[in-house]
Amino acid sequence: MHLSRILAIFRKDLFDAIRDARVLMAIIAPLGVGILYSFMFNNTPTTPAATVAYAATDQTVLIGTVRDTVGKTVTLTFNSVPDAAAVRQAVLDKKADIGLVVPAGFDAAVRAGQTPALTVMLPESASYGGDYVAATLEPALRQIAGQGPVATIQTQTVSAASATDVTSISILNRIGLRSYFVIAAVVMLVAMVAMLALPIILAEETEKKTLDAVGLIASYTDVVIGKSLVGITYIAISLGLLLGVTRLLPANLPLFVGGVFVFSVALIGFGLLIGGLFRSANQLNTWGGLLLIPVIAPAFIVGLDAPRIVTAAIWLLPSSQATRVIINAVSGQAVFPSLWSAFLVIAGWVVVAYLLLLWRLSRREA
Amino acid sequence: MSLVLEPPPVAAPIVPVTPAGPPIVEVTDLAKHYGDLRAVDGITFSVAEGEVFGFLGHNGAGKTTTIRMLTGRAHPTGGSARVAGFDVATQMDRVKPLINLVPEDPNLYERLTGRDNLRFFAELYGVPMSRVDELLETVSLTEAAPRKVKTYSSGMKQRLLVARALINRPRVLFLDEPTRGLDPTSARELRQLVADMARGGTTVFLTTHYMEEADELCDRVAFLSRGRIVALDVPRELKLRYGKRTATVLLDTREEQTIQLDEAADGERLAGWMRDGRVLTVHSNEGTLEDVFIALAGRPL
Repeated sequence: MHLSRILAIFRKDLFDAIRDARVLMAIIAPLGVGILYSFMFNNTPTTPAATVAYAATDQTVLIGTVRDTVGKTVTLTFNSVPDAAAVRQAVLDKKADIGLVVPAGFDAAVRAGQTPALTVMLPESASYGGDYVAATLEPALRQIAGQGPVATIQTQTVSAASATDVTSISILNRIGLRSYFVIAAVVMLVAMVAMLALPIILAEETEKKTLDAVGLIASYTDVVIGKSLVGITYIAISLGLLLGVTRLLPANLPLFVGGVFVFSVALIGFGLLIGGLFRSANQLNTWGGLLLIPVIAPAFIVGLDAPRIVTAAIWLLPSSQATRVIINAVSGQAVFPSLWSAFLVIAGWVVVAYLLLLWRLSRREA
Repeated sequence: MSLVLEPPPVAAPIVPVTPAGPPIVEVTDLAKHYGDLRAVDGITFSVAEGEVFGFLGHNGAGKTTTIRMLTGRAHPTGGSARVAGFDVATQMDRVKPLINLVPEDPNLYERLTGRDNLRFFAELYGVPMSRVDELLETVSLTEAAPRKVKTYSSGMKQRLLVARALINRPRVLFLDEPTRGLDPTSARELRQLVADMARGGTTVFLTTHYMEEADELCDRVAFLSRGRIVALDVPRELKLRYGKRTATVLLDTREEQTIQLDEAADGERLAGWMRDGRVLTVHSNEGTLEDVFIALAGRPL
């Protein structure tokens, strides 16, 4: 291993390779996808909303009680109108999802148990928010009447998953849809640089026999390290751009950098291995995309409720584990517990990749 | 004019001629087998420092495989080879800085300029950048240096390859079919470069299909056939041993007569024409290396 030769190879490739349109596209495409996702998706969860038009002759606690009962399930907007006709018009004009006409002395009558009439107006095609508000009126009125709940309802979600399993809903709720897709783009970016751009560079060197000329003085280990550094640098620059443009700042930066680095090292090993298997850069450019599918797809599946067999299968892949690490790093939360197993799986792939690469190089040198 | 009639040549045993100076390349029973295929089958020779050594043979004779082994790109499966005293199988790290190669194919970085190509290899070999301009001047590419190599002609590329191969001032320069595909002018320029290198003291190990090129440049040549050396000597001796021994006589009637130098009767005929004053010119048709090759391998190159 010779440091100055490694640096010479690194410098040459860093500037020469991106003059190749195939390499440039492999770097730019995931960057563009990430930025597109960032604009397409929003991190704020979308909750249903409802507008309530009401007419009340007196002050009433009904509105506040309904607001408290609904809580954050539906985002409510209350519009006070002069009379019942105005309530009806608002519902007809679809300016309100529900209308309430509160008669005079309503609160006192409720508390006295006089069962006063509360007029509720719903449109022909009711909205989810309007229906939800209508359904909460009964408990709200009981509360005004001073009646406690007749029973305490304890809801449990029953599923085959264990208590520690992470569901897609919990992942998306915790990191948001935009962050999730940008994270998937990060995995895609690493995969495309390591397993498409870098192999194209190496395959071209083999095809044009420039590698033979370099090999006259440098060892293949120098070449592998030099090109790995090129891959790491391309990934670092592209990631910086992606995170900068999308303003996705990982809450746990050291974990993010560590996870992406180990993942990149593993994929670069496989990328250089692949680069040596193809006869030409064009052949690799044509077929290399197929090899990317099992690498990129898990990043998108981790956040979905996939069948257990799929989940188990992708657990073994470095990209699914890297996605877990990055999700935790971006959210700053332990969305996925036991990250040691994620690093262990990725490290296993690193060992496999570089053992195969060394074996391949020893055969080439023979 | 005196004619010496010699007996016709017989298949002479292969006796490697000892090079004039101390050997810089020593090859002993070197072999490279790929399964049952014997690409190189136990060859022995040595090359003296400063010598231009030709390695001739058909495609697949084992020339390039031998170069690959001597330059560390293939491991021998038998025998040994030493370059500048270092074993190529175990001490290649010591050999690499002392050698270089002009390959068969123009393996240059086409998107880089001529100068950047040389700068990259100057960095790899750890030589000062001033060497780059010096070499560009040597191969007459100073003006074209800022242009991308993909715009170069074949001859320019070949000259750049030579410049690249000289970047580390190699003690042994391997040239693998350096003039293949070049036009006559470019080929001549390249041969001149090789001759200049040899005059500068660089040992040149040349493989070529072109017999006249080997004849012009090489101090000694080895003929390789099916992985084995079938003849090794200075070109003149090989031509004498294996070449045609005829002369063409132009008579006063403008009639051309070919005579066999080994035939006593033809000698008498020539003597008669000369006595009668009928001979205008006599051209000896000395053998060529091509003839030598056909005699040895049974087919032309």
